[in-house]
Amino acid sequence: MSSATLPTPSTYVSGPVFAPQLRGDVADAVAWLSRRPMFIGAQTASNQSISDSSDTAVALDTEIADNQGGHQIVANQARYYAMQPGWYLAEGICPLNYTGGSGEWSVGVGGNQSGTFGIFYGTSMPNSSGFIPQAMGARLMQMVNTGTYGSGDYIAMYVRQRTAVTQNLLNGTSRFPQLTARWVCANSGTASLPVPSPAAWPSPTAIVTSAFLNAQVRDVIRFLAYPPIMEWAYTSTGQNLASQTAVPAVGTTIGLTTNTVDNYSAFNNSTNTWTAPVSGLYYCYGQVSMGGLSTNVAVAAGLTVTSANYNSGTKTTLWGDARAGTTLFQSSPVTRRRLRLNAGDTIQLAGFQRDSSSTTTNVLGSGNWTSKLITVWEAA
Amino acid sequence: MALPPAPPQIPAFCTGFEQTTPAYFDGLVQLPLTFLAGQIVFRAHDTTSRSLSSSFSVIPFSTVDEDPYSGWNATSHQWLAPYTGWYSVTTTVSVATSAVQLRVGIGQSGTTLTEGSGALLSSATLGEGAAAAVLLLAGGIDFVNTQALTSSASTTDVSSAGRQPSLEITYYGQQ
Repeated sequence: MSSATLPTPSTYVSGPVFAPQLRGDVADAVAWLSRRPMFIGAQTASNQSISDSSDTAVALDTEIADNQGGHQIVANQARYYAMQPGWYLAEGICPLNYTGGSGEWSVGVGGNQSGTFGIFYGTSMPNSSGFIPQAMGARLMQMVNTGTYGSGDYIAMYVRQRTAVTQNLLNGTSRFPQLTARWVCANSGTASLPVPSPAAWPSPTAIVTSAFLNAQVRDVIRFLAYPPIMEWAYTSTGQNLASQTAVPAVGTTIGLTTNTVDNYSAFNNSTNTWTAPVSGLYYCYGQVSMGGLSTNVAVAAGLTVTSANYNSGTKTTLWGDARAGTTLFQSSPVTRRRLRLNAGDTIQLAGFQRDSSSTTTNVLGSGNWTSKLITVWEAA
Repeated sequence: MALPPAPPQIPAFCTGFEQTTPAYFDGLVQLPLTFLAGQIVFRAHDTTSRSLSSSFSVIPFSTVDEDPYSGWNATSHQWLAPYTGWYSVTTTVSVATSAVQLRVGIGQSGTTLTEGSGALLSSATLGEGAAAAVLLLAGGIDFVNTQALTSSASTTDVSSAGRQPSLEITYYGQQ
């Protein structure tokens, strides 16, 4: 189990540098960043019953990884209590053991942030005869009250099914409930630093200056502890999504209204465009929640990318889930990619829906269903 | 070409003697921080349409976008994890047809398959898309690949950049 704490490298000044300072700055940072808090929990020993139309936390009876001891099997099985403060990327995926054709299935992530409880669902999908529905959701969650198991902020996976009767989760070989939570960024830090590219140490007769140490040690560690992350969501009303007959090369941009976190101020909610503040490999997640229509037949979510690394630089939408729409309730397709972006490249959230009556649907922005865009810098 | 750095040990800065060579500090400072900034990454996509059936088959990605650790095996269509650790994997597959079940998973070493969200679409005017993601522990003998099936014969959709299958991997941390 990791015992390192979040690195806070010192600022160097002229004069001798002693081993304890380098241990505190470099060694502790390497220890932390090599084993950042992470948790993977699954349900493999049971098949939990899920009541109809009830937000239900999924019990995790199997720990695949838990390097901070934030989860226990004996109590609070559904919850991962954060032992370290920071922003965590939480992802849940869960199959329902049901092959009937009625109702819908939703999977999301919830828990306490600074003591405030909330659930946000990811995929909402219709049940189809002969088909096991498996849905997923993701969100960035800020853990503030941390360090004590059984109290404070926590992360859990929530599910909701509407088949009018109780159903069980599926516990199969390749499909089973699973929640992952991994630390991605400190709650506070220094933004707008360059992407690290640590330099070789100077050879005599050059000297190691305080400026060198601040750039090559302090700022590198500060960047890695506080990289660019962003989540904006739509939490309003009045936005509509027109029906289209086929998935277009460039999808309809979904407007986002609420800043969950954007530590590099990279999202412009006038243009609904996120601009990569620095180059790197980014985890990108998009989700479009929309109201159900009785004649809706298909939905999709995508990431509209403008980057020389994709489609020869011509703006295009990278589509993820493309699936049947929910005719009675809400539809919520998601997409998830890791994209290589240059500073200045842009991403927009894109949505698609096809209605056989060509009816426009509304984009959801209240309750447990929202549209959202997430980006997390992962590597140079 | 020099190999990219390995996952670092925790640097040991010793007292009681002088170490002033640049190589000493490169090993204790520059290389660990270079690894932590760059991590281990892999990305590939496919521009060739592939046949899918009711059994899981491996997607033989035609284009490797980046693979600094040379883990991709173009014959077995799998990526070898160069070092033991936790890897975060995302993959997508779209099919040109509909009215079939599409299931997408991430395989590990030929023995483990973790499926993502499936798709089933009755509309004949839109090809389905599905994706999978997993955080997995892999080591120097573990291979990672993308697998997909459709309930009846179908083909992957590579008609546009936005629909082509993809596999993306980043290293997250040590065991």
